[in-house]
Amino acid sequence: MVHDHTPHYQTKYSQRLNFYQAPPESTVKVEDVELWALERLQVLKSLESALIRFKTEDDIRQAVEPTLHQYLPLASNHNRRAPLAAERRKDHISHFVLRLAFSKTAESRAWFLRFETALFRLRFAATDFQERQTFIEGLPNFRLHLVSAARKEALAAELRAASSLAVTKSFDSEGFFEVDFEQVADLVQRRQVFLRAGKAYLPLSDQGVLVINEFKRRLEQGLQMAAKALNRMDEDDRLAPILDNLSSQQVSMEYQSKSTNGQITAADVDKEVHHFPPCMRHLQGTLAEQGHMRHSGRIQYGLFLKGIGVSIEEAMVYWRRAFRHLSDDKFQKEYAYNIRHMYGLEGKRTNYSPYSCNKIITSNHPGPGDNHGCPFRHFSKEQLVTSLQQQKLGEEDVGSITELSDQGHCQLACTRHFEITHRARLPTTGASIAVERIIHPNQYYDQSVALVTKE
Amino acid sequence: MSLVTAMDVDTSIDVRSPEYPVLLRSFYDKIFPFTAYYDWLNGCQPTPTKLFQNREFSFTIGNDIYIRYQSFKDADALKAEFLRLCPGKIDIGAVYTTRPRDKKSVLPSAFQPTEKELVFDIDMTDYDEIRTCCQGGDICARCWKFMVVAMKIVHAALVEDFGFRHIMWVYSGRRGVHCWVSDERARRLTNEGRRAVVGYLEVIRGGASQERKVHLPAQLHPHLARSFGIIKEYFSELILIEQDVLRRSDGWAKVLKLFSDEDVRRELRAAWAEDDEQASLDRWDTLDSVLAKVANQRKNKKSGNLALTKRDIVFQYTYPRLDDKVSTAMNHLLKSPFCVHPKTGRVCVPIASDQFDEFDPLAVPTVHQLLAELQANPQQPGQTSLRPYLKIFQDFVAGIRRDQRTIKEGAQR
Repeated sequence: MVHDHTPHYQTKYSQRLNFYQAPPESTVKVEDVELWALERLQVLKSLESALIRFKTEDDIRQAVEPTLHQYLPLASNHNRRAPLAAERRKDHISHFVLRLAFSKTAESRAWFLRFETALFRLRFAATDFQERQTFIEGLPNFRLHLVSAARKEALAAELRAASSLAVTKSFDSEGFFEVDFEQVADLVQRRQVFLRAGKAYLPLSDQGVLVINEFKRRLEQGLQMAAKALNRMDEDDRLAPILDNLSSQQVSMEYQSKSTNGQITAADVDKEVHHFPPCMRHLQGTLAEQGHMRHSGRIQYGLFLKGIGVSIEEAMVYWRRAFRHLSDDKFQKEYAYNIRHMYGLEGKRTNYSPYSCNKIITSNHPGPGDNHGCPFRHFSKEQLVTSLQQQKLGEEDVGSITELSDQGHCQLACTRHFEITHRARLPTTGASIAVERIIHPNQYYDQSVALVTKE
Repeated sequence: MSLVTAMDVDTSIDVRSPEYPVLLRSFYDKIFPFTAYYDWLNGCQPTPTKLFQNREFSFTIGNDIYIRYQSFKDADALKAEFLRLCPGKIDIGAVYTTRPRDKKSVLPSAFQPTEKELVFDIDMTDYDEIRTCCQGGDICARCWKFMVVAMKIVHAALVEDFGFRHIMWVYSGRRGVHCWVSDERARRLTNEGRRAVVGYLEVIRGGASQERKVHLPAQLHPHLARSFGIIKEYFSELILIEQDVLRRSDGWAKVLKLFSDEDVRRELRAAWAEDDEQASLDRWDTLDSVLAKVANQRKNKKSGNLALTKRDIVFQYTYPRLDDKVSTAMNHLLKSPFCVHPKTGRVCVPIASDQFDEFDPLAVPTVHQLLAELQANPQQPGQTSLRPYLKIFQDFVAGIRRDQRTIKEGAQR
């Protein structure tokens, strides 16, 4: 029999950090509920865009700080002037409202989990040592298994080799603990921890990782429970519209392609290339050159074509011609299904949408022989420069693009590429040119087409 | 390993010929190791469990009919279906919350994958940009060594670092290897956990437009240090002598691009271009002396980077290349062991983990050969040239059974 020791409601806020184990118990005005949740959503969205643009924690923190300060300040216990209880109550309530709103689909749950965890990580890092320790000691069902001095001695060489420079320097005074490797999956994935026989060995200074992972694990369970609770809650006509409104806020961030089915024929595709963003130009070029393309490239490019208005019938013609080395039989057997699948005509019958920049940049990194991905992320500098030069871009322009991509600003680099290649057609407003930031390959295409038709 | 080598048998298999299904039927009937196969997938339990009954099988029949979400109540039902359909290919998927064959009658939320072996797929096509002997579907004894290195490195990590004990390597029948990790802990890994293991093992990163695919820190993680030890045993022989990757200009030009240092590039290009046809071993010596020379001129400034680049090149040319999508999604299908490869006719046999160097893919028996042997000696279906491979499989399953018993005894005590 399992006993649940967590209280049914959380009413007191002695700590700045919160694992949100129990829902809030307090009467809240409906207007506040919606406003607070929307404000929290602003914070999560700004975290999302910061995580795409920046790599180091400092940069990310700086980018989010203004939004965080404006909408969701959370002062430490040392701060005697801040309205601690009110801030923490708002943090708590807004979390639970969004948790409910985002528990509906697997996709929205994953989104919420990812950025709530990122927010917790940010706050954990900004909390001082003592407050952290008090928080960790107060966590229910959370214990660290310390490694004995003798064991540490026996593993010293390996522990040092897997440790960061800071830990290596203070190695003698550093304590270590062991956990199952699954609990620190992110460290294992990045090879930042020593493993032996299924156990991961971490310095005590890294225990934050474990706390953050535990936060994530428990929130994931909480979201599953919220999804079930939501099914039973359908009757509540005050909350339901608010939750619907909130969850639609995140969906609307995805770019919706403007083109409708059937405008572009197979023969037209290659004439449209001058409207394509660099990733799709690259795929189109590779396909033309090699007469073949690997699976991930076909999906990225195929869904983009679908988005610009190539119908399934025309797509079949296009790909059949492009795969010029194949017999009809082999094409029908091995590739036709795949194309029909993209259009929702096979298998699960999902009508897949074209991939966004975010998806292309962050998931399914290309491996050997792959041509998909984002040129500003997945090309070597040399390749990127060569390909920009082939598009007849001048040295200065190339430099202004690679300057952005070097810093990891892939979408800004792509936006810059758009500005440069459409300079002649763009209206100038003062010194700078106004272009909407590119967040989706089909948005690049649609904007480019729109400029031409305007003339 | 076998008395009758593959060369004696006609290996041109016509999967569309009417005789082929008949051939497969005899193979499934007389030779396929159903008992051990069932025990493996049923976790060596005495009666059929969900582990077996909720497991997805999928079949390819004839040339292009593909049937997914099949499941069976016990070993007999499985064998009966094999004999009825004579599938040319069998894939194994995940264990689900309900029986896969009932998939259509339950809500999608009630049909979720719960566990599957942790699997790896290493395919020779991912080595096409570095191997010089064959391309695409072909393999030979020379490029097979890439697989040997890959198996050694991955196996060592799975055993020593992750503590897994029930690991089976399987020849894919043509140009690669599969790995099945059947420990309960491996089977229960979430997709996130699987991504972690793959990320831990993965070193080669980047697509066709990213020349340098390896960037490792100066201080090698213990797994990489051990892997580097294995790689160094093979690098000279495999990459420089047998693959001879630097001999031709298109080969050495690729390596040149991996150096970002302008001085090194200029010097190396000049030296390597002097001779159209030079053995890679000699070119590699030149590389060493150019690096030493440039490092000398720098007087230690940044010269460490040059040595690291050279080390990373060794990794890029020798370290395993995993097909990560197969490993990271629990519901991904993988071809079953003891399938017959439809193009080569070879059986997908297990490879003993203490015999990676000795295994010869070209000596693996074909279905034709096995049936000919059976015809010659019908009384003893267990005595074909498949026997040593069956033994490897049975030992693997026996290991799982032993563990199962230990757990049970522990629970009773």
